[in-house]
Amino acid sequence: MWMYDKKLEYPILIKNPNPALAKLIVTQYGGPDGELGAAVRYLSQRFSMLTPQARATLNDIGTEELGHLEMVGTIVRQLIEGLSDREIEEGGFAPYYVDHGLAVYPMSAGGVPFSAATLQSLGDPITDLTENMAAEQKARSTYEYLIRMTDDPDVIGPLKFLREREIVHFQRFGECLGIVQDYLDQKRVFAPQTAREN
Amino acid sequence: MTEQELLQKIMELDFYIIDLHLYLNTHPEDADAIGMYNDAVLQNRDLRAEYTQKYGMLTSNHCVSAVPWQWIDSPWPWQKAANFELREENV
Amino acid sequence: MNETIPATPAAGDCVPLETPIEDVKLARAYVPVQVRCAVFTPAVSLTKGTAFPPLWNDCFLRTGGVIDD
Repeated sequence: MWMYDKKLEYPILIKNPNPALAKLIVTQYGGPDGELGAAVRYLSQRFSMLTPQARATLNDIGTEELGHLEMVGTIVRQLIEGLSDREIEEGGFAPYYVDHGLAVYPMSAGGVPFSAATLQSLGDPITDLTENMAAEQKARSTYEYLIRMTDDPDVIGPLKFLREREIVHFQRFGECLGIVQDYLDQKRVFAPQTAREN
Repeated sequence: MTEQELLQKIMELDFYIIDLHLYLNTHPEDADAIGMYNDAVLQNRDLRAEYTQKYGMLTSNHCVSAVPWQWIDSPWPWQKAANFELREENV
Repeated sequence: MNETIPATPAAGDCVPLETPIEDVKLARAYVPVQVRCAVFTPAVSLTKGTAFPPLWNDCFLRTGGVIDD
């Protein structure tokens, strides 16, 4: 189960409001390559994963992604809290505002609400780990695009941190893939009907 | 140490612990890394105990509270007052 | 500032990944297993986003949109 640690993984203190930027960054909150999707994907896949190393990795990276979700939500909120009606309109933020006010809502930069259709939990451990490696690359690329969209160091700092975590997560999932491949090579000679044992 | 300096130290150790933790999940035989991890955890425990005693509860379920109930105190982690600038020059 | 704590035991140049990768097959993906060398201090780790120098990668196109060939 989960406990809550009352601090961010990385500090976020944004001095300059920017609703247009918030509308982009929200994609890592509820978009197709964002942290909510990552957390749900890994925490769902862990139930059917094989080998202790891979189970622990899915559990713990999924948990870290919840902390990243919190960071992205924090960035979005700090970019929009206290905005005046005029700042909302001039920032092109009115469509979001009329649906969600100055709240944080899980959606993509294009306004598509969060969907599990963007993720898979398929049960075959090689498939799931390969999906996860792709997910980490997608997140890394998205953070790179977002970093290009701003010059604000208060925002770039946490975005670069989050991008680096994707690279590390890719490495860990890659290592799990090798571990699971070796395990399955020992356990079966031909393709099984189901991968049953632990 | 100020509250902010103490919180930064805890954040640094927490993160170091997290990254070592993920490494150990795929490298369970690395005894030296386990030693580094354990040292960091013990150091972090002391800092967290100090933080809780001076400034308030950091984790649900593991920290004691004064009266009135401290857990609901502001600021919460997403609020600006709970944060600070982390720059490499400050390190 | 001195960012790294040498891993023990102290050795010559530490190669941070397994070499060679053994027993590879077609139609498989492989990521080299990390070998731990020196690590960053906790303070530096947080600013970089990892405790492991070989995993720290700050290189990507910061400006511009399309990568042209």
